[in-house]
Amino acid sequence: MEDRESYSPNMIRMWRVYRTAKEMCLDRGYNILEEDTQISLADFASRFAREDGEPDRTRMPFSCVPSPEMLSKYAVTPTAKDPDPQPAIGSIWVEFNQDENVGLKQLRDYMQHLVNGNFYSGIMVCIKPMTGMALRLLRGASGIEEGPKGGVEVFVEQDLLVNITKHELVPKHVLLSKEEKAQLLERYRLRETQLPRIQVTDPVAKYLGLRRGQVVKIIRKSETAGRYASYRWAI
Amino acid sequence: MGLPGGLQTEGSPFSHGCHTGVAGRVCGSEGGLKILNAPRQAQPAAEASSSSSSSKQGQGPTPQTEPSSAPSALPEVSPAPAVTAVGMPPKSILKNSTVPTNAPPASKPVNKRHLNVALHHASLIEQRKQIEQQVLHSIITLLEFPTVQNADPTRPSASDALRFRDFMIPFQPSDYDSLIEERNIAEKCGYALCPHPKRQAPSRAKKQFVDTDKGVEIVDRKLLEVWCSDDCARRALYVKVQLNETPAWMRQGGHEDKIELMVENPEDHHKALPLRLKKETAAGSSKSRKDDDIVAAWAARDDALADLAVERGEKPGRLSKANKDLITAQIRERVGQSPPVPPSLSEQTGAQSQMAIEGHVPRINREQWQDDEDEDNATDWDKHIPG
Repeated sequence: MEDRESYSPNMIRMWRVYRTAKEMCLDRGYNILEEDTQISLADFASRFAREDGEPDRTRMPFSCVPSPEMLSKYAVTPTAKDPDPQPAIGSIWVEFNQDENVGLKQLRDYMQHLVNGNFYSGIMVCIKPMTGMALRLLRGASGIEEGPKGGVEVFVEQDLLVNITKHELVPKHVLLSKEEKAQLLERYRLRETQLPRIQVTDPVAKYLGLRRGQVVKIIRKSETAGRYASYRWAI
Repeated sequence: MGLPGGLQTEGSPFSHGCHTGVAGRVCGSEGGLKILNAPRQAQPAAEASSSSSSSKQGQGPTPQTEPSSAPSALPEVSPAPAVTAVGMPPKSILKNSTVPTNAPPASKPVNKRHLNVALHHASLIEQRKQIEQQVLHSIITLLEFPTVQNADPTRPSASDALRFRDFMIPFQPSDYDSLIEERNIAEKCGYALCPHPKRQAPSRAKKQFVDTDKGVEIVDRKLLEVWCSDDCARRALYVKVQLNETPAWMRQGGHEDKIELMVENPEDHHKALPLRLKKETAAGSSKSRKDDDIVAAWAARDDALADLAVERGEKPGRLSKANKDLITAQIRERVGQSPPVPPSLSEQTGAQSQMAIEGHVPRINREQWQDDEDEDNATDWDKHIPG
């Protein structure tokens, strides 16, 4: 505990945000070393501290590529038109924005960077919530036109201070692949609209980067049934 | 909803035997009740459910529970015929009208009116989305304003001013605030026609002391760093107060008010037509320009109107100001033939007045009353006489 005293509060905050961001990428299935997610505060400080003891966000961005399991999970079923489709996932670029206020300008610069770097999707972590117009750009169709294929996700640092999926009340969420989803619907003779739903703005859905139409399996402990699984359709 | 029960598993989603939840859903509410009574018997049958449903006649469950025990085989075949086909039809205690809920819904003919209402509302939402996108793109464009380097905010170039005013039409005051916010984040003065960077507060403190007429005030630093000068603030807010509070997608008709700018060269902007602007930049001398321009401007008016018509094509259903001359109908007042006669009290204070309750004459006494009225305008009294 004493060694924490020697770091600035901002440094500790940023360390936790960084770790959660890494864990998030690992949980989504990107290739990330396990020990990366458990970087110690001392290591973090030595890598990312400026002379004045504050974290240097410009040195923190990282990119990762999806693991084979993740690629198979996002595989697209081949059709007659497109017999060998690409999986709907690719490399991701995670950036920690250092500006106090993030608006259209920063978001467009970031999108441009993603397109130039040929990234499939991106995660932007900002200090404060974005302006309304920037969110409108993210939501609207035009954002997809000029941005990367997989879209841009935006997190506020405060949301990443704690990894919410580690909380005891948060059940385990497992994303189903297209094939598994088809099997599930076949097994229960359902249409997907008959499934219970989950919003893509749900904190866990945001953590997993769910997209509309995907189905997530939620496994929770049950006193009566041991384990209990339910399925939700992201909307 | 019976679903979660049906989705109960032991690990994998696809390897288990309990069908009860789904069965309840398949057979409707009555079937669900039965299942609660006999879930254990239902289970073995469910294991074999993929085989034909008639083979289960000899098994344990009573015929009533059978529909619920074989859900996955049944969605296409309704339960009742399956039972009748093999043996003696047992009398069901369930209502006759059990239709499997999984059956495709009876195809109702599309109600034309409902369809139209749905389409109408969909188009409204679509229009709203388009306007929001339009505002967003305007703001993105206005971030780069003014287009001319070292432009003067008091004398903006005519083309910039014209575009700015056009952009402002769908804006609400809140959109204008977002524009100012975005420009400030880009380190520019909040007024879109001003090229200067925003003012820097004297210190980095969160709150600042400001000298005003009323004495010293404490103000947020953010508020100080919005404009490059007080004049710019005045000019920008002059635009803001003219903006329409109602969202653009709810505005009726074409009265899109012209936004006025606070400029020192208003004459340039008032007859601003696109073609004339080009001339202005090309031709140097201002003396000869004036005479030519009046002619050229009127000649160019038709071209400009044609351009506007193309633009207007993008947003159908909304009249714009140029459309005013399309309305050719003359509005004529309906003039009364006879001078208006003030209502005389004598009628009301006459024989009927004692029937009136606070001025209202009950129906039972109305007939007499009406006769009295009809006598007044003698021209059409025979039309109104009942019977």
